[in-house]
Amino acid sequence: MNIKIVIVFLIFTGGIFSQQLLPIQHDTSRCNQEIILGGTGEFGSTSLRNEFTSKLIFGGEITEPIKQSTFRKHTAINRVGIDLNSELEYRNYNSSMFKKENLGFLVRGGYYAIGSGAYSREAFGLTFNGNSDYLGETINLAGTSFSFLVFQKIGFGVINKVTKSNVSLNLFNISDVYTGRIQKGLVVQNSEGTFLDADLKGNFTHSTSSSYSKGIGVGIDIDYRILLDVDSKKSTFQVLTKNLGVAHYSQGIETYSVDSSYYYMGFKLNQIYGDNSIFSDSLSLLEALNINRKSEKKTIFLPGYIQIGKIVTENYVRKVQSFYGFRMYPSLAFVPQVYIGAHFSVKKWMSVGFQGSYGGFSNLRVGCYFSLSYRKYSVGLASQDIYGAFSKKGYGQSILVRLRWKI
Amino acid sequence: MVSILFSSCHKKKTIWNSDWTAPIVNDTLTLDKYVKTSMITVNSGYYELNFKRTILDLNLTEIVKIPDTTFSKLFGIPFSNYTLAPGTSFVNSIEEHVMNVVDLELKKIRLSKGVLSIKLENPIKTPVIFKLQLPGVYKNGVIFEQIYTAPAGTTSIPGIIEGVVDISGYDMDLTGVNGGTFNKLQSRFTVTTDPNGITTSITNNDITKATITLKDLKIDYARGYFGNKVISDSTTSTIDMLNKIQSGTIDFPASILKFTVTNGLKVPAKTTLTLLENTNSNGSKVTLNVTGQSAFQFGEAFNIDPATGSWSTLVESEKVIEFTSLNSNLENYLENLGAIQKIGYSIQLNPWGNSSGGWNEIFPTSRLTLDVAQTMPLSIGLNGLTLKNTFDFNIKQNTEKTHVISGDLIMIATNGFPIAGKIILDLIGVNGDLIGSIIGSEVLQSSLLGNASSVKGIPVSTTTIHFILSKDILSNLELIKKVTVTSVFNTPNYSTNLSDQKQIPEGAFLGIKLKGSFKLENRY
Repeated sequence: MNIKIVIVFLIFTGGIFSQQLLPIQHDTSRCNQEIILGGTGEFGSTSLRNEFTSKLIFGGEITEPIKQSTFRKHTAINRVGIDLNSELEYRNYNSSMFKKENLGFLVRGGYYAIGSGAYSREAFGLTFNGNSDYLGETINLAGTSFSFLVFQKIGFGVINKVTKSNVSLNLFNISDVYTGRIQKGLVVQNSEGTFLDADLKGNFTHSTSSSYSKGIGVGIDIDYRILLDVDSKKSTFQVLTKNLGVAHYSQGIETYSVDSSYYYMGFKLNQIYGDNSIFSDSLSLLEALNINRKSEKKTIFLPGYIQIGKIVTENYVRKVQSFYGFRMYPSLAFVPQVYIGAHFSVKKWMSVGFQGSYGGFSNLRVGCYFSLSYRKYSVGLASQDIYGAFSKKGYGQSILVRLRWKI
Repeated sequence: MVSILFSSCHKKKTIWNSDWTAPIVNDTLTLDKYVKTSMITVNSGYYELNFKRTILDLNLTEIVKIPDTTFSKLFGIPFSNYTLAPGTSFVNSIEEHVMNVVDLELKKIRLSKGVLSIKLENPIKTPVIFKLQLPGVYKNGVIFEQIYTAPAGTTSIPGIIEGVVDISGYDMDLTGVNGGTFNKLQSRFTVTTDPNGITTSITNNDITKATITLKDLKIDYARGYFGNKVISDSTTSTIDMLNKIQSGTIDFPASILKFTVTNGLKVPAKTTLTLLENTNSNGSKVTLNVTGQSAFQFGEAFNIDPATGSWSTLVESEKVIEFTSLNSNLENYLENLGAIQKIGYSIQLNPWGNSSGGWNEIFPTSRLTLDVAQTMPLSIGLNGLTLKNTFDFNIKQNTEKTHVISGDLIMIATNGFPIAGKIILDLIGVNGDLIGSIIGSEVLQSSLLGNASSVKGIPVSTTTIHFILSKDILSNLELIKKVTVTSVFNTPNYSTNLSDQKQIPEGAFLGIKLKGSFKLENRY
């Protein structure tokens, strides 16, 4: 089954990854049409080791040593994120859009599952160790937030036949959403474990409709390329935005919210025994805990990103060239990520590269890629986290695949 | 394609363990609520039982009951035809009506509540004026009188008038027209044709009819002879807590059990206590027997004098029967710990017939009561007293989902009672089979082993008792249908290592803090 999952993962991520840091080679050569299939499977964390996350994602027992070694790696606030996506794009350079010779058109579609979270060390400890370790202490859950969105995209746009700059207007379908936030979350217990004092303010939202489409959205993708002189050399810079936009939940989503203080020392004997027991049919846990539940329709920002950086030029005269830049997801728990790398053209049909990045869902990561071209076809395979790919002690997994067919 | 591939494989369960601690119960058991109701009193810093219960409480309305009574009176003329000019009286009649009472010879009553409803039927062709007087019925010295005008009618369709009058507060003399009889209410009817009406005639077929109903009568005073009434009963009451005792003994100190018959009626009476018996949870029965007191014997009647005085000066008579360990087997009776208590008694009013000349009286404050009271220092010796209590249990765990794999219920007991106890939980299956037992790790210590509490100034001991929920028990939760809690109590004397009587100090309490410490196997 694991093999199956890995295959699925590769295929899925093969369809997902190509939008990431795998250098997009700026190819100025002319062709009539182009089909690009890309995929990303990306998981990263500042504190969750692979030995832990692999159990979390693929199943298995998270043993006490794994749990404790992972717990020790946590700092006051920690991040985690996942990005699974695949995108298929068709570019047509034959046509002339808006009667302009240099404008072709493109159609793209994709499937995305993107989530991120920030959480306190205590939130991890409470979830995976329980509260017994915190007797006599204060648990601070404030600052914990997460969001996970599954959506699909279809877009239509125009592309500059020379610079390959392009823009598309996209329509999104939202198929699942989970978000949560704890703004205030103090839990105090005495050392005997005989009272619990909590001050909580937060909310949790999830889609409840069985319909595949819970909402729709609109957004744009922009890929703007500029040729600049850097150290007397012509270099191509790219300003890339993906999935920037908003979505509105047309199907109701349910929000649970709480803003209350609790002081609990246990029940009175007559509360748990007899006709007036709190366990009678009339008990509503939500009411007892003062949790409000409401269905609502609301508008959110899509988890789009902005990336600005120098990209690799395919027909560059030298064998080695650099690439660098930064990326940010404005609506996610994702710190701006910077990256830098070197690209080697081993042969005309083969290139490799290495990169380092810092930030994002994780901290420092080192990656590499490998790409081949044969006639009209090219394929790229990359990982942004080589250490994570081979070590259980890594803090993420990453694989990117990109296939291109020039017609 | 991706969706199809994903749906074709199943993720293995992710599993991890976590440890949780949560308070479950925080309560303090005291005898305060019994102190507030005076069931328990304090004497020299120690509690005393001061139990009282009323077995019989009869008031006036229960002894003298007057059902609704209806009188109908028909008035005709002895002539075949008679001409009636306007303003002619053709009925003027005093009547006696017998009240609908049983076994009572009432001469006078006072109504605290009640209504008189009247229906008058006029068969002649001119309106008539009905005047109703009840000569023996008066309020503030004024005789009851009502006047109604009935519309004209015919023999077949009489003119009808109806009315309802509140007669609360009226005195009723029921001695009849001559004043020498009982249960008889007088009435006087006068029927006059309307002075402004027409001249008409009446025949011997024209019947004028009056119907009077006395309804919902409540009285607060009665005089007469209330009959040779016998009130007897054999009441059984169950003290549930005693039913839970399985074995062991209780040693009670000397106590007094007192029966009091209080007579607030000016009626002589005789009372007989026929039986006092209890049966414990093992079926063992003990009857209270008199051993030395000659003035009282079970089954033999004793006289209860009538009350004296009247109204605000009424003085009840009282007869007290006291049982002690000196004149009865009371100690043995109490220590049988009978959950089922049976008391038989009989009270006879006017045992010598109408010896008062019809001068029994009952006043608003008059009551006939039978009370039982027990006074005893709460100085109790428990020797292996075993209580069993069984609860239904229906908790299931799905081991394929997040579930508890082990646990520990931890009770921190702060005991201000000089009582030690051991607690065992027996887990019972559907066929009554014992699935397992959870034995408290420690004996709940008597307060005598503790230090003086800073709160109440009494000795208090603290015991931490663990009830371990093993993996075996938790994995068999669905088989457990009942839980039996067995508590074994002693009042140890730590000098002799024997149980003896211990006084319970004022303010004694048992503080219970129960928390659960559980290991969860989380699965998703």
